[in-house]
Amino acid sequence: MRVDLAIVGGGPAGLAAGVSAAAYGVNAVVVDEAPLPGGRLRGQLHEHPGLDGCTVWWRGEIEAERLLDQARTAGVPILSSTVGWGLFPGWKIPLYGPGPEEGLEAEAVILATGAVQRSLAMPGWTLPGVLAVGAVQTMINQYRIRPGRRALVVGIDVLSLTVARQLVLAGVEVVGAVLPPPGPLSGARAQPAAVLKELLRLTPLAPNLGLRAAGRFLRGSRGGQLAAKAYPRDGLRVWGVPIMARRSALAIQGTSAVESVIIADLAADGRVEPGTERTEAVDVVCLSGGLSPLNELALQAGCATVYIEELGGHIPLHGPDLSTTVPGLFVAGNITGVEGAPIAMAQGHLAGLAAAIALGRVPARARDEMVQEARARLDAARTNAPIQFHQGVTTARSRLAALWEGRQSG
Amino acid sequence: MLNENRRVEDHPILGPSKRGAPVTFWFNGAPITGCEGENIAMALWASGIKVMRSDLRSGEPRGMYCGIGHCFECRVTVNGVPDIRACLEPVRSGLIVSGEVSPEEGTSR
Repeated sequence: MRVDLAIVGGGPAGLAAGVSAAAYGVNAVVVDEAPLPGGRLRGQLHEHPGLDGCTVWWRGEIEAERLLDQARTAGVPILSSTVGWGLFPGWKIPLYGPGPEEGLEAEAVILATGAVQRSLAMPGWTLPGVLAVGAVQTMINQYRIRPGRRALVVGIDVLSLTVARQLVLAGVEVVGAVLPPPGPLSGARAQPAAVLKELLRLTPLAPNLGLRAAGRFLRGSRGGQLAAKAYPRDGLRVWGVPIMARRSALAIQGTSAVESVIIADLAADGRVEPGTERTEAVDVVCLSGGLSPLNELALQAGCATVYIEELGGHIPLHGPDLSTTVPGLFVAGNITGVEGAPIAMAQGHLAGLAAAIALGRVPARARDEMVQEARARLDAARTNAPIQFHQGVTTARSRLAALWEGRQSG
Repeated sequence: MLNENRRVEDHPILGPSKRGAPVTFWFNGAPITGCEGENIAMALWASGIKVMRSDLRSGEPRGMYCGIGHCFECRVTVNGVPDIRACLEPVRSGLIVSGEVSPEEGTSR
């Protein structure tokens, strides 16, 4: 199947890219491995501050349907349940699934592959009943299925706290959110001081959302080591869930599925306090190890990458129009760094335009203005984002821009 | 456990759940009723089934982990085709699903 533009990934970035490119008469197709387009957007459900002190619920399912409607109206074909498993010069994308057997041949490609959940390996983590945060979100909010009766969340970060609340909303008793076992695999994620510093960053998100008490405490102690020393063992409650930043899950236990977790107290410096180990009975453990950009196809195509911790890991080096170091290859969404869905959509819009320009579909006189408008939309999405996934995203983005500039001029 | 229903019928924010028509498929020889629009992994979970296969080397139980197609922990055999990710495979009436894994697994490592 020959097309102008192949878009890999049918989440917020990929769908928006398809809509945007189609507006310039580009013959685009979206490849998506899920049976239903929308990506991780479908599992999202969170409350954020709106105007006049009110709060607004972000319901991913509704946003996904809206985007899907736009794609259908724009006539963008979506090859669902289809995996684009490679990217070869030309561009050739072999497909696995019900899509055309000969695969895709495209002039330009947008990679909107999203992010992968980082593994949080710990004793017992292969037991059925241990679910990654993404599984829990999808199960509850997309499929409306209850993960269990009594859950423990392991890993304290913006995503895991959001999911803890989703568990509560689905009628699951959440015994708390604790840190992963200390060690080289968990690093700073198991250090009370580092985690409390991160929590402090999250408090502006939630003047009314339950983080208030925690925020007062953390600001009072200025976060960090001091907060770690004073932080109550039983945790402060956020949305009714005890956030136990001085406790760690050491091992998950059970015969054929999760039955319990061994939990222990941590000293302020992150060491396990001997003799504090005890068993907590749960039937679900929700693991949160953070997200990393899903970059395999970019690597295969020979894109230069850079490692930027604040953006989630190795990302394809890209310019202000989301072009990569390989001509005809663009990126959008979490593959460019882990941020929220509205940002991914705005990036998709920009990448679709950039691809249309590369394909010669945008009149020269209109280009600058269109790009400026799309970039302004992306900037606005970033400004309006209630929270950044990782600390320091803004400075990380400037660093990335400087690296791109350096490469262009060097 | 087989009769346990974990489906949430009314959600405080999302409201009442709209579900597809019931479909019956087979898992390790037992009939399982899922809803159209669900995938195999979610339909099994909703019926109280977490163990989907056992590791060929250790015999340890394995089930859904990432739930979004990345980890392959929920791979099953569907109508004779091995290594299908249950979390991405929609339920259909009469599907024969088993926790067998491909014969090569566990031999090479």
